[in-house]
Amino acid sequence: MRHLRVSMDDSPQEIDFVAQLTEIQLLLRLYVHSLLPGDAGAHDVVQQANATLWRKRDEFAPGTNFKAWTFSVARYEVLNHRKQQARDSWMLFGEELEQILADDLVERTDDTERRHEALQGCLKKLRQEDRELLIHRYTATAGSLDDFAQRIGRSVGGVKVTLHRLRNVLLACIEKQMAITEAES
Amino acid sequence: MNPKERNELIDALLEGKISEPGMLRLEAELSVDPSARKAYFERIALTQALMDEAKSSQTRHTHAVTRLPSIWLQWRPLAAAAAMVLFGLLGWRLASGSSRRGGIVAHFGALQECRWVAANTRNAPGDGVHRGQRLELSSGSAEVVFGSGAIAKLKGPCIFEVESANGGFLLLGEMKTLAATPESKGFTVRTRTARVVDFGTEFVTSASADGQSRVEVTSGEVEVHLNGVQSPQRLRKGDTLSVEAGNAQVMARIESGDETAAFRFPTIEPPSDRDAADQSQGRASIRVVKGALAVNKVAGSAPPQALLDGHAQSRPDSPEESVYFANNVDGMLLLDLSRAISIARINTYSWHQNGTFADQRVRAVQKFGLYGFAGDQAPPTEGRLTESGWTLIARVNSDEFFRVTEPRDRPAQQACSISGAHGLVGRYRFLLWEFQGTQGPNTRDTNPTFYGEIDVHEKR
Repeated sequence: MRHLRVSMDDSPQEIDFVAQLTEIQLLLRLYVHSLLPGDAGAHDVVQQANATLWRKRDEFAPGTNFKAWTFSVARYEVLNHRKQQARDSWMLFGEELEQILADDLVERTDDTERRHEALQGCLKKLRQEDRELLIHRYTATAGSLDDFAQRIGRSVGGVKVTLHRLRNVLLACIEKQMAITEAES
Repeated sequence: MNPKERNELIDALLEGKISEPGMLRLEAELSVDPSARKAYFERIALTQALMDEAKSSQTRHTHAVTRLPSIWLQWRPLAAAAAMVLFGLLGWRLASGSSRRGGIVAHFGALQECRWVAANTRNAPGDGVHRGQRLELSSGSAEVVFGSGAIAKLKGPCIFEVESANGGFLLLGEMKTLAATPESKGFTVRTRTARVVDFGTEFVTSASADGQSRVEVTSGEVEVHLNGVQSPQRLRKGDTLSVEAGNAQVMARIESGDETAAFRFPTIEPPSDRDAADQSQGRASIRVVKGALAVNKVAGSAPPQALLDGHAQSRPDSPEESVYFANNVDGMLLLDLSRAISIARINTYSWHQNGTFADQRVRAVQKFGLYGFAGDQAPPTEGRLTESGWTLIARVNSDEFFRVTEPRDRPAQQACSISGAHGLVGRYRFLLWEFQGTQGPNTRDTNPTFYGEIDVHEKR
C-alpha cells in the first residue's frame, strides 16, 4: 500500500493542498458526523475521506470551491460506509437534506476551535459528578446509552434526561462565553 | 416545532434513541428551518468537542505526551502529513448493498459497463437514487429499481431524471421499463413530447435529441398522453408509437398485419380506394425523383401508380404488385395531391415473405423519412431537404419499432400510420418519401421494401 507523506520537496500545489485539507478538517468532521449522527464509525469515515481526498488531489481544480469538493468526496465515503451497516434505513436522512446540510456547511464560518476553547471553561463550571458523567459518556469505550446506563447503575431514561440537560447547559455557556470573547476582541 | 422539542429529538438521534416518527419530524424540520440546522450542527460539534475532551482527559491521566488538536494547530501541514501516513495504512473494504430513506425513491440494480457523463460519478448496485436525481449515462446499461417495484433499464447514452418512486423524465436515449408489481401500475415516463402511463406491462421508451419520442409495448398496455390532447393513445402488446416534436405532434404508429390479402391490422385501417391520393379521385400523381425502380427479367417493380390503386399485394411475395427500388438504392417518391389539403393520416403498407426461406422478410421493412410542402412548386429534392423548404413530417424505421434482432422478429406484413395528435398532420400539397433499404440476412446488399399502397386521408 502506498504511504503518503509531504516533505519540502513536494510541489507548491501539494503543499497548498495539504494546507487546505488541514484547514478543513474540523468542518469535514462535522459534515461526516452530521450525516452519520450517533454512528460510532463516523471517525473512520472521516479518515477514509481524507485518504480518498489525498488520492484524488490531482482532480481538484485550484480556484474552485475546496469545501464543496471535499464534501462531495466525503459524501461518497459516507454512502460506502452505510452499505456496511445494518442500521435501520429510517435512521438515515434523505439525500435532499444531506445536500442542504452540505450547502450550509460550505457557507459556514468555522468557529469550532473557539467553541472547543469555550467548552473547556464551561466544563470547569459544572459540578464534578456532572462533568465526570459527561466525560465518561463520551469516551470511546462508553458504548450505547443502554450499556452506559447499566454500567453506572442508572435508568436509561434518567441518564438520557441528565445528559440532555447538561448539554443544554454547556451549549448555553458556550454561546455566552463566545459572545463575551467577541465583545472583548 | 419548538426548540425544546427539536433539541430533544437531536439528542435522541445522537444517542440512537429516536423513534421513527420523531426522525421523520426532525428531518422535516431540518429541511425547512435554517435555525434548526444551526442547532443540529452545534449539538454535533458539542458531541465532538466532548469526545475530544474525554480523549484528552484519558491521555492526561495516562501521562501521554500530546493532544492531537494542539499539534494540529501548531504545524498543520506536518500534522496532516502524519495523518496521511495513517490514512495510507487504513484499508477499508466497502461492500455494497444498503437501503436508505427520505429522498431516496429508487435504487440502482445491475450496472453493466457503465460510463457516466461526469467522470467522478460512482454508482454501485444498491446505491440510492433520490427524487430529482439526474442519471447521465454515456455508455453501458444501468438498472434503476423504483420504490414501487418498477424496474427501468437505461441504455447509454441516456439522460433520465428520477421524479418519484414511480416515474421519471427521459430527456435523451432509451429505457426499458418493467412494471409488474401492483404498486407500479401507473408508472409514468415523461418525455418532451409525451407522457407514457403504464397499466402493468413492459415497454420501451426512447427520446432523441431533437424531441422525437418513441414508445414500444412488449407486453400489457400503456396510455400515451400528448400535450394538449384529451384522449390518450392506448397501446397494447406489439404496438409502437413515435411522436415528433413540433406543434402538430405527429405520431407514427406501426402494426403487423394478419398476412392475408385483406391487410387487417389491430387499429390501422386496410388499404383504401377512397383516400385523397387514390387514382379513382383523379387528382394525385406520383413519380420517382431519385433512384430507379427495380428492373428484373422475371418480375420487376410495378410502376409507382400502383401505390395509389386502392389495394396492396394479394400475395406475400409479389414483385409485380409491389413498388420497390433496385438493390442498394435509396430512392425518393414524390406525390403531388394537385392542391394543398389538410391531412389527417398518411398510411403506407408493405408485405414480403419469401416462399423458400421462412425468416426472409427483409423487404417488408418500412424505413423512410417523410417530408411535406404546401406551395404550388415542389422544392428541390437534392441536398438537405429541410434547407430547401421541405418540412420533415416523420421518420419511420419499423425494424427499430419492432426491435428486430433476428430476421424472424420482423413482421412480414406491416402498416405505418402517420397522424397528428390533434387530428391533423399538416396542410400539404406535395409529399416526399425518402426511402432506405435494409441489409439482407446473407448479403451485403441493401434490399428495398415491397410497398403495396399509400393512402392519404384528408381531414374533413
